[in-house]
Amino acid sequence: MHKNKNNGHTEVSIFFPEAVAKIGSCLVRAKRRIVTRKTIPYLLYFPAFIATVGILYPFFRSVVLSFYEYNPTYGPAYFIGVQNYIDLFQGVTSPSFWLSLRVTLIYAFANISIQLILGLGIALLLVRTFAGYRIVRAVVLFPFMIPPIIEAMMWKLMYEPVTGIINYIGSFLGMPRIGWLGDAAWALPSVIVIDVHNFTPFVAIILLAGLQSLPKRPFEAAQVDGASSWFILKNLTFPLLKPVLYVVLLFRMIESLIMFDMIYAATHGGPANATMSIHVNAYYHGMRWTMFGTSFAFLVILWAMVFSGSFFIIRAWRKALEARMV
Amino acid sequence: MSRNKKILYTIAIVIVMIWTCFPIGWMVLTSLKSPPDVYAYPPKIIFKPILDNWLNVLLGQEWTGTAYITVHTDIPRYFMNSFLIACGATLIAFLLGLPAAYSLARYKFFGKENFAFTLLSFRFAPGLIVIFGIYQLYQRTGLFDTHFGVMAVHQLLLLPFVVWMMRSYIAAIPIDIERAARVDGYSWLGVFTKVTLPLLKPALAASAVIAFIYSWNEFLLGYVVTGPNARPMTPALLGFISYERVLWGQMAAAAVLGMLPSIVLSLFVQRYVVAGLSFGAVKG
Amino acid sequence: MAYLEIRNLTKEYGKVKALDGFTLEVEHNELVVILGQPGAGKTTLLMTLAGLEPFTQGEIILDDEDIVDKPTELRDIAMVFETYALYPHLTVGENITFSFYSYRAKRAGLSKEKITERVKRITEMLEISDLLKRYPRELSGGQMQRVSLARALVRSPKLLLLDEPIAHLDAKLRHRLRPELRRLQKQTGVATLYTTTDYMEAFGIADKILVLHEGVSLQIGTKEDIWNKPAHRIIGNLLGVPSMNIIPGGRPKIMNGKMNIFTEDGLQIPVDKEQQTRIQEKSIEKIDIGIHPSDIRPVGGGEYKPVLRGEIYVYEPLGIKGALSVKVNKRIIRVQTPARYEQRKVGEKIDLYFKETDTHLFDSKSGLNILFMR
Repeated sequence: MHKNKNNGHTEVSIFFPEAVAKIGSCLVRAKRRIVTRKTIPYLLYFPAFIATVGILYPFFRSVVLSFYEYNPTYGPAYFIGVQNYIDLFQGVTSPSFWLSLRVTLIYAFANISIQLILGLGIALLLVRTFAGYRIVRAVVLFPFMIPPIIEAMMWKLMYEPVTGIINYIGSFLGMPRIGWLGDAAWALPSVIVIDVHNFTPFVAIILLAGLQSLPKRPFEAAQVDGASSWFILKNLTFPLLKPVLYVVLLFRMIESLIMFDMIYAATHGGPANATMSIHVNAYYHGMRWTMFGTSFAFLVILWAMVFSGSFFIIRAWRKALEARMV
Repeated sequence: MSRNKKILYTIAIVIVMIWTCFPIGWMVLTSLKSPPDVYAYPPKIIFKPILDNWLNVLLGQEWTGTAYITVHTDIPRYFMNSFLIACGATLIAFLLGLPAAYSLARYKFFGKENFAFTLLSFRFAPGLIVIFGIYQLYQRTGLFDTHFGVMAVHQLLLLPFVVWMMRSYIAAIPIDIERAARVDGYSWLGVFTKVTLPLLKPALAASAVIAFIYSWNEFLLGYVVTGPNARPMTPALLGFISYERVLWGQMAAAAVLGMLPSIVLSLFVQRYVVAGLSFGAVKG
Repeated sequence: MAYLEIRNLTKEYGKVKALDGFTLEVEHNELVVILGQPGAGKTTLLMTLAGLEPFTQGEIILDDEDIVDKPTELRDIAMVFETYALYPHLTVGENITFSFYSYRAKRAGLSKEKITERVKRITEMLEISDLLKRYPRELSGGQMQRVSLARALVRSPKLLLLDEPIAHLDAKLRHRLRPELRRLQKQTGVATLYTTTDYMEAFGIADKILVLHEGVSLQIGTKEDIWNKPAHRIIGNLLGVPSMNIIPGGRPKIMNGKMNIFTEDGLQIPVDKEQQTRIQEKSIEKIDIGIHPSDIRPVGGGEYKPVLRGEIYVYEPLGIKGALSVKVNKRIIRVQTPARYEQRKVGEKIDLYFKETDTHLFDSKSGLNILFMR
């Protein structure tokens, strides 16, 4: 084997200057030394690692800049410690942090609870087979495939105060004409409805998959014992489905806390800041008013909220998984 | 099931279907309405459908009442932008993510789970916290408002997805098959291209479709790093509702156009969608 | 120099040694069986030889060539995996010829006709010629096993590694394939390492058996060596159905000039001359006594002397033979008997006879057979 290689090199040197051949053999040797059993996993991961760094760098830069007064319109950044955070907590930003926090939490809580209940209901409906069930399952997923921003446009069309279909249907039910997205009292619930329409299919389809993967035995046993369907749901389906519920909860919590597209497209945070979530507020402070320091402080707090929430849900999920193993 | 229960069940299914489809259907109908029909009250379900909105949005032909005149439309260009960006972003995500996924699935190495978790944690981050820094970087390097620039920032969404999905699919291929191919005289690369890749084909197709949809549907990142040139479909659509007086018919046509690719593609990968959406956390 | 020489092969996972100073020589045309319990390091050994796993130190010389630094694909070693590892996306025919389309094989330049001829010969030998167009998912376990064997043999490799190749087949098929495997190996003449957990399989096909335990090679020898002189207490567990009786913790004492071993349960077992001198030489204090169930008889005669007295605990008729469990002072001793012991009642008193020379004495501390102690 080795002999063959040497022969190869002498042949090469007839056509090329010796130096080229030498470089070639050096490269081969270098490749041998770099690509070894121990380095292969790292080499394979390297491109993704670079991308990770490319994402982490701006992230940490933002975290650092949240401790700076940074407004490029007026001059370079200077360090002000936790002043941005103090401003936030004293509510001196406009729109205020506390208002945004309230909007964000209501938005997230309403979305998660409504979507989980509706989604579980739909999953329980669809877990049975009936004529055309495949089509129904495919169609139910449609709204989730629609970009949130188009969802917002779709509903804006229906929410239209004067000629919109929703007010028209409402008139039959004796409801007064409502401004919906343009009415400070109704704007947030209206956006929540859009989010529910957009993301309940996700909850339903994942829970449906969860339901289908449940073991059959306990259910057969319960049926033999003559248990009521409510009893089965409460004492069998629900506990067994717990791990999947946590996964869905995790995804929905993350996405509704950081939701931007839908709110921005539907209301731009208005009217009268009624839908000014933290993420949208940060957008205005940063992109519109170039108050980047303040904006980053908003975002760091939002990130911390998402991260700590995820931490607890993931822990509960692991516990539920272990419990199911036993 | 008793008769009554069956009726209740059917009613429930019908309600779910109406709730799901009505808003979509209403928008499709609106896209076929003439302006008077759009603003008619009570809203019309039965009307004379016209293609004016579609002609306007797609071809820039506007009906003046007597003849078609050519007006400017950017929608086809934005559509192409989105298409290019979604294809490119998917390709990049696989070029970077597939080797990483293989590495995570097949080897033990120092810090492995930390790497994997860091990637996953990008989903926890509000997009803006990352995109501001990138925005300023792009302004300086000339990547602002370029297709490649958007493809690159979409990796924030696509890369974690591709790595986690492909990792679980690769791990599902018995390692002995790869070993057998090594013994049969194939180098590491030979095994990958002749054995692993062909076995991954269906999974690759499904993940690629879902990645494409993610990229296509993304709004915020693409909005921040683009101007009028490389702007994708989603941020471009926002233009329709920022006007004082909204052109509902044209907006509806453009919006239907914007959601069509995702819905059509999703039908092809139905079977894989669940595993894909939940990063494989629930076996679908 | 032997055809394959493995010297002092050691593999460490952190502090655990998966292989510890493994040494073995294999000749051309020889079939060596590696016998050991699950987790003994059998698969690790084969993987290491194939170059699929790295090792800490040692030498591997195959056909006068040091192959340690060669990557797997250049070693020209074929391997049959426990899981068969057929390529699911290729037909049986493509599976078998897969190795001929590797870069290396292409350079070797085997002509199409030659490949076809070889495939024909091997598939006919293994009776799978009519399966070539099928996909692995359409095959039965036995067929998959034959295909994976064909895939390995068609290459005429320098060395063939078989990792528990028939472990997952049903008993009937196993019995049929065992002699076939041996015949095939002798026909092709390729040096072969074969792992198994089943001593019958090992005895049935091996030229030479190596017993592996926790990465350490305990004994290398013919089946007679291993049966008659097991080098270690653990080997007793691997041999025979039922496996060897081990009576632990006996102390040797001399009475009337003859040595006996007194066990904790109060049994008294005589020791022959050779063993006695050995015990005295090495001054061994505690001894475990092993005896094959087939060396114990429920009737006396000749050299067979009554040694133990107990009561029948249970009898299992196993066709032409039977297994009798006898309770001797709370300890169950298993005895292999001719059939038709059903008429004996449970609880009935019985004497057990065996030859002094048939007992195997192991040092309690190290587990080594006292005859092998250095």
